[in-house]
Amino acid sequence: MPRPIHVPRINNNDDEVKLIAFLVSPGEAVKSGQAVAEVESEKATVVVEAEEDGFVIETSGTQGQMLDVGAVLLWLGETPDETVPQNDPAPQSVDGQAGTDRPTAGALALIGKHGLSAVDIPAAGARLKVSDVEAFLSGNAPPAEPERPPAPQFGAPDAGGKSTEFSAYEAAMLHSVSWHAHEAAATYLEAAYDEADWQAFAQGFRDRHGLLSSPLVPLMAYQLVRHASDNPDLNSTVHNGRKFVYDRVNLGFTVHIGGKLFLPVIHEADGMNAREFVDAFAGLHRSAMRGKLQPADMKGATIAISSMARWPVLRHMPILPPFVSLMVAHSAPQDGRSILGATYDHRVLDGAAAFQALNHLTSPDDKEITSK
Amino acid sequence: MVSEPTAETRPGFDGRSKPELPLDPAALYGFGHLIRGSEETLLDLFSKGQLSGTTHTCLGQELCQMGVVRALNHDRDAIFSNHRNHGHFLTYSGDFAGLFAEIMGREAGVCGGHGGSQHLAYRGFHSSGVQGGMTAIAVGEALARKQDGAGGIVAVIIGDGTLGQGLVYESLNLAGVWDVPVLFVVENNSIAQTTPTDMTTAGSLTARGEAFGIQTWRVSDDAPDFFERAEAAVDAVRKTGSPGFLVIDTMRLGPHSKGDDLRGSEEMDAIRARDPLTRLGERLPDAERQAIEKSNADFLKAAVDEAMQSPPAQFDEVPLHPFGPNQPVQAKTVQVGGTVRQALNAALHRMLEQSPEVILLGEDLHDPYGGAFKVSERLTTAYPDRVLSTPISEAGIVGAGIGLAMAGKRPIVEIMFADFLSLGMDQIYNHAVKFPPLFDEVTVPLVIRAACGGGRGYGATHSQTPESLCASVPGLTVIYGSHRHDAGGLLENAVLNWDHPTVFFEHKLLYSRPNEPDGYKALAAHASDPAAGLFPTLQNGRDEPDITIIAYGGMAPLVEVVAEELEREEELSVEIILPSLIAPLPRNTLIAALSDRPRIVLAEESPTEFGVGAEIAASLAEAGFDGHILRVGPPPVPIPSARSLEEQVLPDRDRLIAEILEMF
Repeated sequence: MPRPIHVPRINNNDDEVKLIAFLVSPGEAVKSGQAVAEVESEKATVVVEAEEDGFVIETSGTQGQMLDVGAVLLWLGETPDETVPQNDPAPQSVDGQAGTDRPTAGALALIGKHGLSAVDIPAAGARLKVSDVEAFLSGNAPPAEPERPPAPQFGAPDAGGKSTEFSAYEAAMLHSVSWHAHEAAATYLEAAYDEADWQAFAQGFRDRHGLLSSPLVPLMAYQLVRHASDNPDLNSTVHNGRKFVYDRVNLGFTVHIGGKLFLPVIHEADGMNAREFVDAFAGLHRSAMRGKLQPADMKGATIAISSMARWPVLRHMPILPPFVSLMVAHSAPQDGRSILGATYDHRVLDGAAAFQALNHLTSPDDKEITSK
Repeated sequence: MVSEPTAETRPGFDGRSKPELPLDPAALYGFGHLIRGSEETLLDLFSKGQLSGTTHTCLGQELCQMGVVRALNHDRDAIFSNHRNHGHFLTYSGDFAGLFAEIMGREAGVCGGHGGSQHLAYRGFHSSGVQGGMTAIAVGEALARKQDGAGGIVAVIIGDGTLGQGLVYESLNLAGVWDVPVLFVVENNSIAQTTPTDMTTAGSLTARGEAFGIQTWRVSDDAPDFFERAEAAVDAVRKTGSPGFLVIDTMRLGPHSKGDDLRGSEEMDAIRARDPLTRLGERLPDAERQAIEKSNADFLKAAVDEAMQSPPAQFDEVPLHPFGPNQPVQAKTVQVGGTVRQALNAALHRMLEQSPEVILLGEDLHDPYGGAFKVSERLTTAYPDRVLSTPISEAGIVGAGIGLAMAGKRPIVEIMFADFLSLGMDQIYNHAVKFPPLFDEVTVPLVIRAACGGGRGYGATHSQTPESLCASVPGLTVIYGSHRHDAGGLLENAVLNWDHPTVFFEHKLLYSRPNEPDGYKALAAHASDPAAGLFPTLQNGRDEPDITIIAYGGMAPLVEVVAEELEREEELSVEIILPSLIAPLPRNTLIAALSDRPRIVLAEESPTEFGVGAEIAASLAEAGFDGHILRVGPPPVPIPSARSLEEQVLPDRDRLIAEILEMF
């Protein structure tokens, strides 16, 4: 029965010692007291001796290796052909770890990240690995959307302006309606108000200026012009993915003549005073009635207003003219209550901005209208 | 011949210089009567609701309290007193208004209201409310006096009731072994709070000093030559440079505190009849005595008025920690190579060579033994006066370390097994960490090194690491580096560049490990984390880890094995974070680095319940961390001795891997 010689403890606090050398080889006969190995710790070198006669059957460790104190250093047998007893317990495996078909943790992390199930994914080897998940993902992934070249945009703003990048906040709104990237994301909202103030204001203006007809809609349009002049976002559009801020405020307004709808445009309206504007409004209206509108008179609107009060329509939703982000809809009053609506391009304006503009028009601002 | 003081000049004590008390009855009676008047004034203020907290008076013991302190006239003399300290303090400082204001919780208090009646610090005077707790500190300060050779002795004053405390005997032993100039004064008033001495104290009082080979005297405060004999004891300690033990028999005329006196009227009558202060006053002509008493009353009234005018003490801003602002960290060359043990030993050699104020105390340090783990080898030979092999006396040497630190030294105390830190815990918990935040001028740059950790089969009392216990002590710095840190640099920073009491843990299994950085980098220290730059947190550098393992000390090699296995077998990217600073926790440094991690494992060798990992996890959670957190550590059971049992209790490789894999 072979007997072990153990790795000796040299210092109280060193649990490992370094093997300097075996001084004997397997098969060699040794005598009791014969040096068989040299080991060392930080403190000292020690020679290990055989405690009895015998034959070296097996040595454990290689030169320079750190050996655990108390481990078997060498087996000594009575004859050279004895075998070392194999009674070491089998190494225990950790539950659910190596030796099982459990996916690697890395693979599980990837599976979890993509919301997949391990059972759906074929493994190339014994364990499902990251590479298996990646292969599965590349095979099953929905075809990536091809990068579409930006569609050429039809038309362009036909009034002068400055093209700028959208701010991050503005771009976020643009992208939230992204399938409208090249078309207006037309949206509608409205506000209720009492038109009495406007009627009184328009009457006063008419009396002061000796006008033939009520200037209510032209004055409301003029207040819109003034407001847009102070709030450039209302006077902007999108072109080629960039924000386009118009230099001047050109107001378009609807004229319905002979079953046809026209949108004559008062150019550079922000440079006019109220009276000039009302006259320009009336002049274009007259030209339209006489069929005298020139193409140039109907180009370049940057903001717009429509009135269907004379029919009388109680509420209407105008169509946005090209490259216009806000069009106000004036309708007829009923029981002292009127609806002011607005169609706006949600790529440029959010509901709050559109409503604020609309709300601003629900009563006349004498100061704003007469300041110029 | 000392000129006779007059009633007009006597009460001129301003608290800026020690009162001169010549040996004549008028001067001594005058001052003793002032102390009594002060104590009666305090009781009166207490009854009027003007005191903050409680107070203990020395009524009846005024002359006893004056005797030794009066004779301590060297400017390097120091006094360590106790809860009943007003007579000592006033004799030392003459600061009556400062004492009143302090006990009233006013801004003008001698300690700004931070100390109160029991906790006073003033130049060389310190008192504390833990019975006997200052005795070892006094011995440490006396050791510093001896080493400096510039004169000055230390007096430590206790009552007979404190003779039941073990630390008193450790301190007597250390004083005897080190032969340092410390005078132990036992004020024997025959009662401990409410319990008579014959129920508390066995054997002889004086034999306690004699047993340690210490010169011992016994005097009574009603002896005609009491002051001369007390002064003679002080002179003897000063002249010999050796310790002394002086028992003063006295009687307490008042209650322990207030309203807690169980003694009968007969006994009290006898005490009043003996009262040495009254007897001393009777030796003066009536007119002189009455003039003194009138003058004293006026003086005390003025002192109370002065104290009353001071507003209640207030913090400008309540401090978030006691460590003050971070100092810039000097860049230094990292000392690499060799084992952790060699790195620590080399750092000790360097510090002792370069800094004369560095002192190392510990058990079995003497060569050729060099400490149980050989970290301190070859030091007693090179620095025999500053590397002291001590008695087995953990509380005593921790206390002595505090005294040395208060005296301007940079002491290092080696605790052979960190398990024994509990023996020194009162010194740490009630003394080392309390003084600096309470008292502006006191620093305690003490480093306690402690070999710690299991994995060696040493059993339940030689395998623990009480880092959680230590980290929960407010104001205690806890450092626990790994083999990846610059071990010597950490120790040098703790000893030389950090002025606060610190426990420095060294895991036994790391001592033989190569001390190599192996690619780890220090996390950027957050500016709001005290000491985070001095004691860095290391990171093994993984950009987008699947899992982050936070470990420290002896767990570092284990988690490296675990990480290597997880990366190889489980295809995970594993980040390892190795703090070296446990407390104050480098909270914002960790949060900044880890708040976006998906999974964090806190691997601990100490029980996870109420542990350091829990604090880190709570900090992350409070900062909004929304990943998965796991603690892996031992249950709250003793560490068994058999290696096979110990392996089952302490977290090992297989358990860590198995628990980590449960996160996926």
